[in-house]
Amino acid sequence: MEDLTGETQAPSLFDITISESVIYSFEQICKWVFFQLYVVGGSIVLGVLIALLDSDSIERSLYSKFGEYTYYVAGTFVIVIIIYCAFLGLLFNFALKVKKGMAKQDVQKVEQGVASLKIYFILSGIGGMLYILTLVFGVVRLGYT
Amino acid sequence: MDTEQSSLFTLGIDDITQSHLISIAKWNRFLAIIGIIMSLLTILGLLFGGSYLFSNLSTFGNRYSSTSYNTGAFAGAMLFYVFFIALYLIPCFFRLSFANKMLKAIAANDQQLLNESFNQLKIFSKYWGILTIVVISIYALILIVLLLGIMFR
Repeated sequence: MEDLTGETQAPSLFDITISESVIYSFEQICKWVFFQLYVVGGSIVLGVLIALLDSDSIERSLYSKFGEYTYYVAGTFVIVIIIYCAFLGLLFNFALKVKKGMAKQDVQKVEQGVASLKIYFILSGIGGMLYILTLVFGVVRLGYT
Repeated sequence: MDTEQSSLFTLGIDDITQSHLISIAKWNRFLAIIGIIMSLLTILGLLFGGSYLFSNLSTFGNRYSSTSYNTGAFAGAMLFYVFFIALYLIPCFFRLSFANKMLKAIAANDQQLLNESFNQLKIFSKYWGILTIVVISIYALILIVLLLGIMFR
């Protein structure tokens, strides 16, 4: 099967297709995903700028709370932000590739976007599992004390 | 729009995309169920742990130790928490609906269900987008009030 760009596509095993309704839903999903990513990205950039501008008072405040562990705490915080950005990158990849795939009628781009979304939800699910495990561990520990 | 079956172009859902969609639907169902259970547990915790919260409110000091104040504060805090739990609970149902419909659509090879499932995912995304706008608006309002307060101090 060839698409409009001339590339060979994997044949559809099913009768279900990306209909006009699905295209509309995908467009809307991408639009809202982009919006939320811009908001989150803007917030992170704003937070980093504030942290850079007011680094002295933040450092003093952290030092009063964590003492010699200040830089470990700050480093952990930066690593968590980087991991979070990478996590959001999957969502960005999904929205971008699906949008491009829809525009160019390229099923492989759409497929790559959907694969990114799958990884995003798998990581979200693992995060959810870790959250529940932590919660159960906390409750059990609270019961013992 | 949602009832239309026509395909604009010949993009079929092949076996790879199908496996991705099944995986997405299963994880979404898991996340939705976790979200619903956690929200319900939080509500139960508030209901049964409410008396503990209520008793602790009397430690605010003599000025706020009247029974009517405590009752009001307790009711306010409960409403506040229930409101936020409800805000979180609603999209979990959209997510669950998306997952169930997607799995059924792929199993039954049903185009209509596939359209509906993506529509649910669209509503889910739109919901969080609108909520983000509301939160940003509240922050903007707080900022404006703060600036006005500083200007007219």
